[in-house]
Amino acid sequence: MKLILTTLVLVLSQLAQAQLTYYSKYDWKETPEKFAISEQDKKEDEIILFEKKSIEYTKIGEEMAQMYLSHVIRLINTDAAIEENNKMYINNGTETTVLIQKARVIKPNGDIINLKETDIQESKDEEGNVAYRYFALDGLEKGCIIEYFHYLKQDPNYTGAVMNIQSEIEKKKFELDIISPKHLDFQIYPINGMPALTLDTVDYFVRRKFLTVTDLKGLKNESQSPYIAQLQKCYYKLNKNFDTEKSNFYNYTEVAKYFHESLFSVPGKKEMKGIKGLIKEVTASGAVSNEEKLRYLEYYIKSNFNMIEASVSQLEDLAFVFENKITSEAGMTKLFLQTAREMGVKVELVLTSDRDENPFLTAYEAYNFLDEYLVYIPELKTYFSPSITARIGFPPYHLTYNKGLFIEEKQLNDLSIAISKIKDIKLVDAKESIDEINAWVDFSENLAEPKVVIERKVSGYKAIFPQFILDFVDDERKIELKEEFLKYIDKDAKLVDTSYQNDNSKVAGKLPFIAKATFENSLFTEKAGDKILFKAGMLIGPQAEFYNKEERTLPVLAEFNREYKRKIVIAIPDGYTIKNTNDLVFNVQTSDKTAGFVSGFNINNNELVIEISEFYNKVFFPVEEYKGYENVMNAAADFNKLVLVLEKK
Amino acid sequence: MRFPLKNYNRFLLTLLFISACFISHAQTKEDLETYRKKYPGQHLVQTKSVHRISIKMVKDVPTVTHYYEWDYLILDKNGVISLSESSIDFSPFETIKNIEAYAVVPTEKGSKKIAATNFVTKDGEADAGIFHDGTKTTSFVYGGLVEGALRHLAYEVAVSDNSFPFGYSFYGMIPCENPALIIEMDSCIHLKSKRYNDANFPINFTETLSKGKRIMTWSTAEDLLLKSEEMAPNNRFYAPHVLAQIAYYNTKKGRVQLIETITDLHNSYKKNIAEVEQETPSKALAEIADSITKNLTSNFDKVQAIYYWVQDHVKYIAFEEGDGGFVPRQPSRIIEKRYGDCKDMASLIYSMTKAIQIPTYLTWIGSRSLPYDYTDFPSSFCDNHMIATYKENGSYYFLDATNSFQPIALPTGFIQDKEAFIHLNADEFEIVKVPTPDWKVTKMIDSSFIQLQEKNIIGKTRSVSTGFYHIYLGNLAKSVPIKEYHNFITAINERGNNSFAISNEKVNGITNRDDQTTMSFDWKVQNYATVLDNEIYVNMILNKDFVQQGELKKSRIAPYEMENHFSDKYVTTLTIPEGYKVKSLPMNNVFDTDFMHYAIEYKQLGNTIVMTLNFDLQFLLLQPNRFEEWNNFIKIKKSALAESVVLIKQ
Repeated sequence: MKLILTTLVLVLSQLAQAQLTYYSKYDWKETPEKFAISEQDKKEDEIILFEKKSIEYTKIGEEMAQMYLSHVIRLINTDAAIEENNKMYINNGTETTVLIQKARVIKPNGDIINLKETDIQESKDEEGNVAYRYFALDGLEKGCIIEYFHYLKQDPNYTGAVMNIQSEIEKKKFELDIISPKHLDFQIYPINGMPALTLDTVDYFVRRKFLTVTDLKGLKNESQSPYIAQLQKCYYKLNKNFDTEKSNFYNYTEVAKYFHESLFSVPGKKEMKGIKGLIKEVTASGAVSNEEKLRYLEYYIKSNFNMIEASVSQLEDLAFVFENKITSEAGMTKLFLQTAREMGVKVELVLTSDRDENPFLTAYEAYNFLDEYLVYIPELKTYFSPSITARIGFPPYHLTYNKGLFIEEKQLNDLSIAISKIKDIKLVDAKESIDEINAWVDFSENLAEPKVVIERKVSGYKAIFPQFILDFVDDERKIELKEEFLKYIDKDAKLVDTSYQNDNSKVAGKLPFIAKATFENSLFTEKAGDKILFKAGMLIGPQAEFYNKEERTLPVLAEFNREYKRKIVIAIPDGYTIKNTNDLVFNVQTSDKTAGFVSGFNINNNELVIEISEFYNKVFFPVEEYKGYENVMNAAADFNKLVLVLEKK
Repeated sequence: MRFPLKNYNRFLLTLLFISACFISHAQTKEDLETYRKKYPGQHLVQTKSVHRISIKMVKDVPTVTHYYEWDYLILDKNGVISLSESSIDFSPFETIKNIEAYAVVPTEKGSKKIAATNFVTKDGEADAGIFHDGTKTTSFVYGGLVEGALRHLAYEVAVSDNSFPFGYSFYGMIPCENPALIIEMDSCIHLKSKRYNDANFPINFTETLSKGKRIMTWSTAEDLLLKSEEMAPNNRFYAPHVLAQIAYYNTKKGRVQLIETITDLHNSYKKNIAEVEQETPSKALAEIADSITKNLTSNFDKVQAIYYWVQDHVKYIAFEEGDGGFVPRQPSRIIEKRYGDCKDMASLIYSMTKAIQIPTYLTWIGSRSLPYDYTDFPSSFCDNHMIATYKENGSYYFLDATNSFQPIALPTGFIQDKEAFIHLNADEFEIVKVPTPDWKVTKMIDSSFIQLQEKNIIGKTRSVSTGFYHIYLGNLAKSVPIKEYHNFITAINERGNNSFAISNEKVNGITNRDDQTTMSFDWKVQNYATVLDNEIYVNMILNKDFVQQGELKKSRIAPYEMENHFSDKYVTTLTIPEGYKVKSLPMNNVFDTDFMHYAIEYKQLGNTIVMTLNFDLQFLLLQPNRFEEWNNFIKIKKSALAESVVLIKQ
């Protein structure tokens, strides 16, 4: 999101006069520094021996600029680390000028190979500007040190930026500076245990905040963890001008005003014609309730207006969008929002962030939490998302279990104004996203190969993607994909008498996708002499497991609330019995009962009915609750291995 | 009002052009239903796909211009999504001109033409695996696309090098009608051409000669419609297509050979390597070559040492800008940089062996993604790779350092069965077929002793892997960090079920190219056996995925491709728990054909049951006419997987 606020120009016109930047003389040491390297250090693929980052806001000529310094000294221990580091890319963006870019390889014997300017390749964009620079490093071998230093001039970002100081790789020493002219103050908000920066009281020419950290441990990624959200990092933005005594430039009231003007704008004649046209389509569809109408509107605009990646400037201009049938995510949001409003349905714009990377903060307002769009529909208590695969009721899950900025339009006398509030974007209930399997097993015709009929029924988040993708493939592929949806239970089985319901995006988010087939040639039974082994556990489908895992250090953040229901009906052949049915009983739940795997059985008239419910009514499990979560996952994996023995009475 | 004549003409022309579009659209509108019926379930049909090549003599040299024209008709709205954004990639040898891109969109009154916009040209993204290749991309956006719209794209490409061959494919993933390749040339220009895979899908060919022009046309009524199939070779191996190449041309001064024969190709290629050949090995290079070979006596050992040194010390990074796609860089630079592409590695091996007075030869070769042979249709379509070749006592060693864990005794997997084009000197070359190592070379023998602990299994396994298996494991092992090693050994040996856990692992030879990988470890699997009353049921096939591919569909078009021949053997010995005896053993079975061997055998030996499972494959490509045999095998395998040993209390 790019916001340009005119007030800013005024603030910046009174900036400090210093021509030299704080680090304009900074350089690496001519003779490379010697580092003590322990045996432990050598066990890692690579170690960062030293890293320095600096952001300096300063005036260059007549313009404000952001000077970005990066200096990294990295020990390379393995082939994997060589492969990882022998090519380097530096993204210029369109607003970056490279002032200094140096790299050298220091060999174990002390030889130094400097990167030659002529070895740097440049990739140019449409205007002939350098989009990024890249090069390969010469002479790398195990035990080398790569030293890399660049100093860039960039267009300044005052509105909110983030710096991740931690990564998977251990850093022996890390330094950070955030520097501004004396009269400007940047608010810095460290999280996840990153120490606060200290104000330098010695330097009188600039306002410098700095930090030195030694032995910054690498953070290892773990499955299902919100890894990037867990890294030590800080957010920073321009907050105060001591000269004018003004502060808090970037706040959500300003944002609400801006978006009110751009997305809630009053439609012109051409735009209104297009909107009326959409309403006509909605009416013609026969939709009655507002929910039906909005669902049809969503389906219609997402299948008739193509969202493209190319940066075409008019993609949010509805007149252009109606004419050309192409748009962007913002344009799609505007299309829905304005049509719904015209239909008399109250809607709110929601701006939020990806919870897996930068969960929305409430104590700190900045624009870097506002790059995803949703539309809240109060009367349905749910959301529309412009994402092509999302459907009303099921916003992209990485935006839920998060907060967002809700912007609502209110009439104040004749004036239309924007009111904004930070509210929760709640998770969708587990009962909305059910993955259900119903299986009927009949041994009456063939003891060795029973007839197995399986119905799989998925709803909500579990259904939207398959329903969506089926619209875009050809018929043959469609059959394959639909079969795969069942065959995940037994990939080598042959399916006959297949039937499918609701296999298209028109009903996605509303009706469950249902697939049903008879499995022939399946692996569900095994012969063991005169006994039949029936692998009942296989019918719940393959299960993820957390066996033999190392101690957990990061929390779990699963995608969405969900429930797995399984019902297996086995007609026991005449003259046979199943003795080990008690193995079918499981009851494993977390201590707060939010997640569990519960199974049981009933026998009626030679019919064994197994019922299972596996549910997850929350997505976040802190480390201390992890064990309970793991037990539930492993219960499902254990059930999956369960075998019933059919033997003669 | 009177129009000046010229303008008026232009106005007429414009009118004509527009009405032509209207007519063509009127047709498509009528045809839309017909197309939908003809291609049910398809979202798009390509109503035009014509590639016209014009070769004219300019200043006594054939000059090549390509004209492309493609029309897509959108059969339903789901077809729009892939068409709104389009782009043309071009290399430094190509210049793009006269791009004509527009959509003809149905309206209430008829139709209207909407020109594509947002033309942007920038440096292209290099192909996968290549760091830099100098391509550029022109991209643009089509507005107004809806169901029933026709998307048109036409453009010209001028090619600066007339020795490049031409190709045209009569297949695709989207239905295409009347595809054609048309080559028009001055009659003094002579082409060679060849049709591939058209036995069951004939490609029409016509040739006319009049007024000093020769026109050759290849066409079909429609493309062969392909779908993506797993474990399939490149489409070129089985789908119909045409290759063409300027062979020679006549001028007043006489006949000029371009690329008709392998000798012509050699003459064309040798320029690219002249600089490398002429370079005297640098001091630094010679010193390294000396130092790594000084204690070795035989030439073979010395070549091997150099080959392995290059694998260990030079990383694969491909820069393929312009001539860099064909010309290796100088070895003296590569040895400093320690990185390069296949040509650079080949030239470095060539130069390092030259420094110690042992000849190796620069060699062009195609990977297994190319079905073409130099001896059949010599052209630069035959190769996409370069290696060095060492000859000794009539044996050839193909030195391909792009794989950094490759024993000298074996060729890299992706050049098996390919023709190597070996450059001996400026006047001589050899074509030698790279061998396909048979199943005896690539073996995996897994011997396990297992015991029951209630439902769990405790095992001890020793396994030996050779040939391509060893190369595969060595490559993986090289990049595994020490702390991940245990998980790595666990993952590659998993069996039973996903509770598999190992301990006491010992691994030998895995990082030694000329050795074999030997692993031994103790392991445990939970909840594997079924115990009920006085019986225990155990399925002794612990690795149920020993065959990766299931049944091959009858409708499958592509052959089934294997990486290499191999032989797997599992010998699993189960100790019968005390107090138990065997109640029943599964069936023994054998399946043998010329392309595979499978056998499973159970036997009781004292207080143990020994299961021996053999599975050998001996093909690289299995053609569809053999699928039935494969599927018969799959049935037999499946019934074997569904049988357990039954033990009963005595």
